[in-house]
Amino acid sequence: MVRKLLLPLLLAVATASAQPADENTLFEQGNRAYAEGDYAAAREAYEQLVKSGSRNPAVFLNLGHADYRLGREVPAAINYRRAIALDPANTAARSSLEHVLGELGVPAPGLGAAEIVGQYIRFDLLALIGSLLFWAGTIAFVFAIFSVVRRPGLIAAGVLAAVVGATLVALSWAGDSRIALSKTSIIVGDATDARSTPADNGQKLADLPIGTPVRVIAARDDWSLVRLPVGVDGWVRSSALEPVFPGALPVIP
Amino acid sequence: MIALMNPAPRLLAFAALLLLAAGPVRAQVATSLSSQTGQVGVPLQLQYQFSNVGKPADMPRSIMVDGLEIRLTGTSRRVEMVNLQTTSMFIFAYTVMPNRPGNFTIPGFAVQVDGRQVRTQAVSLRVAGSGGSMPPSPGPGVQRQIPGPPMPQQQPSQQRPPRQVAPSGQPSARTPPRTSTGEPAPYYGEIVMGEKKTAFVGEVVPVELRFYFRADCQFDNLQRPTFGGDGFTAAPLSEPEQTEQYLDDIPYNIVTFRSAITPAKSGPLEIPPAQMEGRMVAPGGPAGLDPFFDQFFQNFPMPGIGRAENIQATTNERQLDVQPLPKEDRPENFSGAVGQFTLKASADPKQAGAGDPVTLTLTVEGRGNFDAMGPPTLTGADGWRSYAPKESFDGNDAIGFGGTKTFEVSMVAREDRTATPGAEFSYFDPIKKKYVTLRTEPVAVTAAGSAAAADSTATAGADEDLPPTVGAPNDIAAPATVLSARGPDFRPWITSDWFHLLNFAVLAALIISIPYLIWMRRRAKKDARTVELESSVRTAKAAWQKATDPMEFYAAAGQFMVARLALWDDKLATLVDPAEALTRRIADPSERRQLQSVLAKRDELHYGRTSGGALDPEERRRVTDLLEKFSKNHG
Repeated sequence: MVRKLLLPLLLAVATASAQPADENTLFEQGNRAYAEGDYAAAREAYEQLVKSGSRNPAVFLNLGHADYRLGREVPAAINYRRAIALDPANTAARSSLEHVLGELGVPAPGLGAAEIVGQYIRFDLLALIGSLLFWAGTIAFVFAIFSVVRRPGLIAAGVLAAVVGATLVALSWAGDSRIALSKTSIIVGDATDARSTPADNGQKLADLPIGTPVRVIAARDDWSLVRLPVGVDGWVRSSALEPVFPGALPVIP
Repeated sequence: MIALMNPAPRLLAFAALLLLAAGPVRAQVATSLSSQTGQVGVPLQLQYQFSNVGKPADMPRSIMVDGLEIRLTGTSRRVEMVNLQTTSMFIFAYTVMPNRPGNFTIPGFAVQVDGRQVRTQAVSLRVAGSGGSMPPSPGPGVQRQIPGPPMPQQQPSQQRPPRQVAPSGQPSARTPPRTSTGEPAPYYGEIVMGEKKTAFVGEVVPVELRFYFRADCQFDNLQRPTFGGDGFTAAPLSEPEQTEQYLDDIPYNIVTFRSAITPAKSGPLEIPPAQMEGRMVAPGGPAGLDPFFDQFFQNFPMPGIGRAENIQATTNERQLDVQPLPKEDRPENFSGAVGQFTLKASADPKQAGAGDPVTLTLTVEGRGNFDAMGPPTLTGADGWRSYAPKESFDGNDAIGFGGTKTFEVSMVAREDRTATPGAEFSYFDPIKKKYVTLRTEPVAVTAAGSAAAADSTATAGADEDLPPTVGAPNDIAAPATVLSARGPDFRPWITSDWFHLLNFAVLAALIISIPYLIWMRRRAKKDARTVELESSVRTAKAAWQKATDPMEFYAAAGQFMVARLALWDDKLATLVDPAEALTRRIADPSERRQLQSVLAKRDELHYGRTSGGALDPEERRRVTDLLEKFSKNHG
């Protein structure tokens, strides 16, 4: 049964690993523009790739480079962060992020335990392996319980596999920065402030400088309710927010 | 808020004094060093003071400590009378000449006193290089009770602390300022910086703020002092240390705070006085008291009774001539470190695969402005990609003047390498008044080259020609030229619908399979029973066909019938009631009767214990035919 479920999954992964021809073409087009110093054109090409659904770390790295060369340090830092999330072993994105954060005066994030683990194994794969191991252990345990013949070894092996599998799933959940930052956005708009109500005449709670990370709690019309770093909740115009891990790349002013 | 330890309640002390005026006193040995810190070539004074004992017989003429020259310079005897109590002291004075910088411990040693062996206390000393800027600080003044015969309990106030040697070079500490009436001031302060008159911009100058409070006055509600000014930064004040000292035969409690100042600009630097606020309860009765009682309280002060007065103990001002750091011979990689330092390097792991980081640990140890210190510069870093170092500082004093700063540099080899880069660290030595550059040799490691690191190191333009600095990268990395293998999406698998569906499907399949597993388990058990019954049928059939004795024949025939009925009812043989089963299963009354008669015959032979002689062949055939028919029709 597990084999029947795993086979289509592996086939889907293998299919997804293939690079579409137009993706390569667009990427090379962006690289040429970047090499010629036309960073705006390069950015446009990379952004088009992202909008078309590309989730390649190389695309986000180069998009970050184009943003940086255009003087857009905050979007550049966000794109480097995305490249690292997609590929924790991407040293180019990490060193570039350190450089940009240094220019912004923001301390560079250290290499946490989760990121060190992520350099060796993808959290997605860890979750899948953990899940399969958990179910294999559970199935073995149930079969052993209902067997006419007593099988203590199989029961022990099943429990062990289930526990290890559940631990791996928990690790992947706790360590994956995409989960930790799934609701985090960065302030990218100038003169952004948080207000007590979703209206421009609401009481001003705080000034939010560019680069401030906030956690989005809810959204209403053009406004998002965010939790500020100091723990206060306030309403911010959604156009001033840039999700760290978006479904699609929004237009950054 | 700081509370001074005041002597015991004075009224009780006075009463005890009258009672125990001629009582014995406790023998003591005190060790005092004029300063816990010193400089090479500047002598210090070490004293061993034995109170209320005979003269020690075997005091050494010199004390052997590597790096220190300690010689006996004199012996004296002093007799004091305090509160009708006589104290006799033998004082052995030694001169301590530091020969080299470092941390030293002058060990304790055993001497014979009045037939008993007494051990002196060890004291520690930190020695800076010649001309160092360590301020002298009061010696530890350790005291040790000499074990002696039991003596009556005394009031604490009767024990006068032994005199301590005042710090050298501080005449003000020996002579307290006078009030307008000529009395020693009840409180005052001073800034202690040793003989320091000049400093360089960025040089850390340790200072001590000492506040003196007369021990025979009451002080409370003392606040932490304020200290700071323009043109320099001051380190946060340490926790206060309290000692007691006699100055002009007046006991003073001394509260000492340590700090350090760092001049920020050149030119004359005025260090404003530090101030410490508190409250003094002057001896005497409450305000408005009759002059007679006021005189009484003056003579016999009582705790908590007196005139409270807010006070402000103020130190003196100090001046420093601050010189700029010289521009000539300034190394290119000088990052602002001023002081005296050493540099060490180590690497871990010694072997690294492609893309694996190697951590180069650079340790800067010494004394100076660690706060302003930049990381060392890497040399020979071709083929390596280095990242911003992780810094940590481990101070060995309260003000962060001395200690160890560690820079952990993560590096990834771009090409195969057999050694890490070397490191250079330049600083300005204010004692030698010149720049010093420290270098470390490359550390042997085996690291495989990584293409990813090579990509990220290809920085553009002139930056390549600059020496690689251990700090934030000089520029962003080179852009990726090829798309990497398609990575994951922003949405982790663990939160995706298909992942949930997969797990739900497995869970559903497991739940659905549980009834099937239960059925399988039952079937397996049933199969086992059927096999057993069929075996029993075959055994019984063979037995009746071979039997010649009527008892054996009918026993086997009965077993055959029971096993057949059990198979028929799908039950265990032991659970089958043959009479009831025959009535239920056999519709033909004649056949049922004949079969019941076989069972009856079996029981008759079994319970009657009679064999009945030889089996009649006719009867055998009739029963055999009956059982064959039963087996054939109902099998």
